[in-house]
Amino acid sequence: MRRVGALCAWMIGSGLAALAALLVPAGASAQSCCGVASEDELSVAGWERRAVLTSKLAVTHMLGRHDSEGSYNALPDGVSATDAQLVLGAGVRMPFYEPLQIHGSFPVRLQYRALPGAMGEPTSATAFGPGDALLFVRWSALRDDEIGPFGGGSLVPSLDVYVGGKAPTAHHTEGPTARDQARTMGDGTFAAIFGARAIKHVTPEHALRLSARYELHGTRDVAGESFHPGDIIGFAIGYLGLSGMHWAFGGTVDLTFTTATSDSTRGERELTIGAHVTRTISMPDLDLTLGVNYAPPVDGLSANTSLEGIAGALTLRWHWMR
Amino acid sequence: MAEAGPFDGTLTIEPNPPHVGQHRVVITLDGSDGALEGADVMVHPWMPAHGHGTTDVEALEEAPGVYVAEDVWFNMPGVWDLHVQVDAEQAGELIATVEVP
Repeated sequence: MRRVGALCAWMIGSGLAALAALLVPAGASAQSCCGVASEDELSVAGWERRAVLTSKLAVTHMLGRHDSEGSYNALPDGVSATDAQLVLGAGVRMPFYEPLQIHGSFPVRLQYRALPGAMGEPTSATAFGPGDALLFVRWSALRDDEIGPFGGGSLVPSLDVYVGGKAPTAHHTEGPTARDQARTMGDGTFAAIFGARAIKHVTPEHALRLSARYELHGTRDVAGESFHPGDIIGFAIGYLGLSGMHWAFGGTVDLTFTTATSDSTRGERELTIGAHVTRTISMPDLDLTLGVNYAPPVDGLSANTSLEGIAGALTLRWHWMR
Repeated sequence: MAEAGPFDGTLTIEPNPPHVGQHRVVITLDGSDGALEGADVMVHPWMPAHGHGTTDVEALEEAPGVYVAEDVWFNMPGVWDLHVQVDAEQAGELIATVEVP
């Protein structure tokens, strides 16, 4: 018999999915980054770059959830959740074979939770600690000419495929209290992650982005029993635009499916939208991106989600050119 | 409720629809010879999507075959399973699913 407690995964599949961000001075390489929660592409070194260092500050405030029928409900009185995280990342292209690179990230998190207690009394807690670390190997299989068919270029897109993993470096706590949940900063399992991303310029100033990823989770022990938090399949489509030498902007729609956990028969579906703008501060090696991401409170767009909300992120990246 | 023992059961929850907070759960159990009396009944709230629960609550028999658990706590919105563990001449478990908006 399962007993009280176990990990609360406010964050599991709460699914604030990736924003695409872009630093693309005209004529340079397109790349995306800056996921608000998914950090797969936070620190990807673009073409013509040897390496990149990234720091991102992101804040997420939960507003509600979609129930299993797809109806949206705002968070009830007395329930509140806000996360802040600082993510440090790096990516390095292999000098012996430039299409290959290693990239990863490591977050530190500050989390606030407010909940009614066991007797209905208001309770709240704030906790600080590490999040889950990510590491990837990435192969840039194809390269876009960044001119596009409407600019007289080819139809070949850029195509990256990657494989990596998530290590459960975050604390996770078994228990239902606000303190337990504030201290729960990961799902407590290893995960293998596979993904692909394609970007195609249709003109030198406009590009489309498609990506897909699969996150295969391990299990963890819950009161002597094995618990599997569900695997994640995600798809994203985005637009990327360039304006002169110093500005880039874009938007993304992310759709994420999470399979049922080992205790459940119902999976999750979550749709989020995002937008970003990037300013090159120092050409060509320093840029700053402001991104927002939002889970629309519209019935039917998502179903059986955990918590959803709005997120904002500020990302600073340093590039080392070849 | 889903059955997993030699008895039938019905479960009602107050207030209905449920909310984040405390509830009164009334469980009516029927055995092969009518109302199932004298059983030990525990209610285990469990959130299957997240792998956590809240405090177990003992349901006390208030009438023949009618057991009441007070202060059953749902601490967050979502789908919850109420595992009703019945220990009588024969033991078993019933499961009811509720969704907290």
